[in-house]
Parts: sequence; C-alpha cells; structure tokens
Amino acid sequence: MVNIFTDSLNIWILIKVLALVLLGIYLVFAFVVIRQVKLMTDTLHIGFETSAKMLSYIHLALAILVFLTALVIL
Amino acid sequence: MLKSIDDPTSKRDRAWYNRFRMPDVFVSPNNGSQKNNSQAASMGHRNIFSAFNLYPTDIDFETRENNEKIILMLRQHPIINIKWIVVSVILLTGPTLLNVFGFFNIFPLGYPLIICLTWYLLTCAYALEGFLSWYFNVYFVTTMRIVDINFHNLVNKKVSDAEVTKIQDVSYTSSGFLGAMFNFGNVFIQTAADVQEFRFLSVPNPDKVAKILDDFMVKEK
Repeated sequence: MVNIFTDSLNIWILIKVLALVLLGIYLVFAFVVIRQVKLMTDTLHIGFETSAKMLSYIHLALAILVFLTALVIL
Repeated sequence: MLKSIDDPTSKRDRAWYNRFRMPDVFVSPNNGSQKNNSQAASMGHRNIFSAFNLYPTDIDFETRENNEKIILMLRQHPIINIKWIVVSVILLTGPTLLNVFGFFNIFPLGYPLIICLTWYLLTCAYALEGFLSWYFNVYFVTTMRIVDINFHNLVNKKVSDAEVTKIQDVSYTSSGFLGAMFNFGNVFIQTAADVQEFRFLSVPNPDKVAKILDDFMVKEK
C-alpha cells in the first residue's frame, strides 16, 4: 500500500538535500570568485583592489548565509 | 646673445618654455625620462573608473618592468556595462513576478524564501562578474610594449604583449549607434610578434588611441 503522506515527505526531503548540495556547490564557486579576484588584484593595481576583494567576501558571506538558512528552515 | 628655445637657461625662459611647449605623446625611454615623469605627474588623474587614462600615475601591472612607463590604460567604454545592468535589474524583478503568477504556492513553507534568496544571490554573482570583467579587462600602451590583459568568466586569465617596435599597422573602427554617440570603437593592431593582432575592443576615443600608436611607429622608425 502506498502512503501518500510519506512519499510526499520523502520528495521534499530529497528536494532539500538537492537544494543543499546545489548551494554547497555555489559556496565552492564563491570561494573561486575570491581566488579569482585575488588573481585580478595581484595582476593589476588600478585602484579598486580593496573594494573588489570586499565585494567578493560579501558575496561569500551571503552564500554562507543562504546555505545556513536553507539548512535550518527547509 | 640669443638663446635657443630648446635650451632654456634662465628661470623666466624655463617658465615660458614649459607653458607653451607642445606635449609629447610618446617620449623614448632612452632619453628624457625625467621630463616624461613630470609630464606624467601633471597629466595623471585618479578616476578609478575611467576607461581612457593617459599617463596614469597610480596604475601598475604585474609584468611591468622598472624602467617601463605606462602611457595609456584603456578598458571598454562604460556604456558597455548597460547590458549586465539591465539584465540584473530584470532579474531582480524575477521573484516578484513568480509570486504574482502564484509559483510559490506549490512549495511548502520556507522554500519560497530560499528560492528568493538564491535568486538574488545568483543575480548578485552575475552583476559582480559583469562588473569585474569590465573593470579588470584592460589594455596598456607603455613605452616598451602593448599589453592586453583578459579575464574570461572569472576563471581564465590571458596576458598578451608585443613590443612597440613590432607594431606594423594600426587601424580603428567606430560603428553603430552607440559607438557614434559615445565615441568608442575597436582598435586593431597588427604586429610581428607571436600574437599577430591585438584588438582593443570598444575603447573610448579610438582615433586618439590609433594616433598615439601611429606616433610610436613613426618615432621607432
């Protein structure tokens, strides 16, 4: 006998895991952005290094925030 | 005793000489480096978002040699940014539109919030990538080389350079409504180096850039 409620629950758990995996991959991307901005600022000294690095760190902080939010409320 | 205009000796003569002397676009690195420095100091400015920097004083790049002076730093005209700015603004309206069409009603509590946050995060990443790609993709004309620094999609980096003595031909195009309106275009530089053609794409004042590079060719011959 198929339990609709249990199956539905499993689907949402699966979606939650999938969402967390995707957000985890996005976290890796956010780290890559930081590395790339560091590469850019090491290559060029054109007066925006601190702000560019700050933007990349803010981006990483937001990615972590979204990941943790998803972990808690999904 | 008559004094040559090119040899100002008295204080008054030097002042007159400096006031009316035509600026040199390019001074060979082998002579007049001190003059070049003082001129650079007077012409350089600190607009960090400028796409056309003549004699920038506070700009440097990784492979620049000690006796190498930057004459020109270029990046694409700021109007090029309009594409990612418009797309970002449209993307920002996405969650509102999805909510209007009832897309979030099919999800349990909590999911709409995560979808919205992720959507805005991706939009931020897109805008950040657009800005950084514009800002850090630059072209240099120095007293020794032309340098093209390219970062593709936040992952790849490519630096090409060619000695100014190897420049063979310079041409430029300015086409399209935006190009004509905002005075930007492409400058094509044929060289005898490993990279046979340099393309300075969508740079402001392509005629001036071509003129500066033409001066190089004339002075090096």
